[in-house]
Amino acid sequence: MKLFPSLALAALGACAASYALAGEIVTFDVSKDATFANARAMLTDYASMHSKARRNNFCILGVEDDGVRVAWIVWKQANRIILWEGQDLRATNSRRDLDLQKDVVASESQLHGSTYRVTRDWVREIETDCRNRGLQIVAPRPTH
Amino acid sequence: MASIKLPPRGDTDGAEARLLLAECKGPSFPGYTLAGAKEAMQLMDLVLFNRLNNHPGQFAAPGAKTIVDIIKAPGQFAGFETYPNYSAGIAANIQQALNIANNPKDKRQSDFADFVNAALEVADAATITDPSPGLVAFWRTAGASGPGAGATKFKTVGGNDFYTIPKPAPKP
Repeated sequence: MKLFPSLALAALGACAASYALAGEIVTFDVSKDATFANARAMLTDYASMHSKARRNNFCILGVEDDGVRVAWIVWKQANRIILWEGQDLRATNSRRDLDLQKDVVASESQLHGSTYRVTRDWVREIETDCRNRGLQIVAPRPTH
Repeated sequence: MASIKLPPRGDTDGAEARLLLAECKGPSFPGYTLAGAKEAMQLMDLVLFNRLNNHPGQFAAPGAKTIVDIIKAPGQFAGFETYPNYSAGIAANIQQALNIANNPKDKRQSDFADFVNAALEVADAATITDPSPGLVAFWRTAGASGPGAGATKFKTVGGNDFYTIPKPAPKP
């Protein structure tokens, strides 16, 4: 499935903050959705819980599908893409924490029914769209 | 209220209940409803049995005899490949749900107890009749890409997209 076309975006009349080609999955600005409004503080804490890196770069892309809004968090230093469904990630782990070394296949024909693996094209689209329209957050590791 | 416990990890119902709790959005997630979670769990139960009964080899589980074989199939259900060992993140979420469900001082107790009990009931109950025009054989996280394999989306519920494949032709 082709997702998130990066060019020729059409603003949807019904939701000015969302973007998609007709019939394609819609992205939205997480900074304007109250469910995801605490991203910066939460990811700063999350990084300090899960990373020893001095600096962590996150990019958050909102995706809307059939009325369901979720966000994918691209975490550069950890080489992961994490699903965020608006829960407090400091307390409740994500249902999808994708390791880009292990959980990516070359094409849909190699998914073999997997509930969680993703294709290389999907990763590329998420990363590209996130660079272009996502919320960028840099979280330094706190010094104690 | 009696303490809520999961069946032992080695039991079939124990394996399925843990998978359902891991894969369904619980009360910690915005937009959670018990009805949505229960419907998603029933469809997940159906997926497991449809896979078992329809050439499990196409779902990376050749020779599967039980739904535990389906659940453990390589690359199919995140964190469950080495069941009865499963990922620490999933185990933490399930333990958190049980802790809240069994804590009368927690305001969320009732919601979490209902959520855990729904998983226990679905794991124990008879599988629902397939509500799709084909066989519900896949689920994917809502907002992720599709499963390929000629599947078509049937329904989005409980934070998951469910997909069907055509029923195999009846044997002459």
